[in-house]
Amino acid sequence: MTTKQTLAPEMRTLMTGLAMGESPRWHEDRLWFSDWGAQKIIAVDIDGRSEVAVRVPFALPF
Amino acid sequence: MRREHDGSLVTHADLRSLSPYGWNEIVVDGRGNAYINGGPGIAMLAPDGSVRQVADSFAFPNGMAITPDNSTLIIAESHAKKLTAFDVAVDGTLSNRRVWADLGSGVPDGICIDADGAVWYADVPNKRCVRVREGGDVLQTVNADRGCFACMLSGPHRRTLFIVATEWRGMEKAAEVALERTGQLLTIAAPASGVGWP
Repeated sequence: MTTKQTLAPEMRTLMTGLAMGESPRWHEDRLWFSDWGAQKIIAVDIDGRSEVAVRVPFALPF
Repeated sequence: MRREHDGSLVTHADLRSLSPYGWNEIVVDGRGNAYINGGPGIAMLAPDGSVRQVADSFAFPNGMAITPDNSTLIIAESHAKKLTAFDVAVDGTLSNRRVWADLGSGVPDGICIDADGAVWYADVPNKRCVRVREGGDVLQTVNADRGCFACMLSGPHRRTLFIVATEWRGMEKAAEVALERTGQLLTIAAPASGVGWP
């Protein structure tokens, strides 16, 4: 019996349930991104621990 | 807007003198100059607060990235299916506009640069992120099951591609789709580290 080795890296789902993520930026060991439509800016670490960093007063830009 | 250390939001700059419409993407380079794009083109906001238009006439200006030496700005033109580059002068002026990569059927949204000088671009209608080199050769494709809006090399050593992806049914249904909360944050190991700005 042989073990099939796959060289392609695997995609991992770090967060779900977002309205619409945009503009991700790496800053101080966390990914910061805006969740358009949810009026939030979220910061999340590499293990998926997240918090709402900023609540913004504006809605979708379109 | 700018978030202060105490968490408060303050107005950082007012761009209404350049355009009454909203703005789209932003990148801040190593000199502290912020490039912001939207309907009129690209505006540059200097650290002293002065703002001026530095480029115009784009087919849907979208993601932008600047090389680590601050010398080249690359911008996604979603409707033209290409990446366009400019030389960046010390004073922030853009010149020598050229096609950096023709993407064929690719529709670029958010972009970032890696240590091999390649660009990753997120693609909404084709539901994928693609790594291309200057000239347009495709080096790698990462497929998703929903529209990829932006990607950023992040994490330790910036060696992981983070992707924000959402089901997309067009601009007119954006608010409706947002309520369905189909948005995800995906990660995948990348062959080269992220460099430059953002």
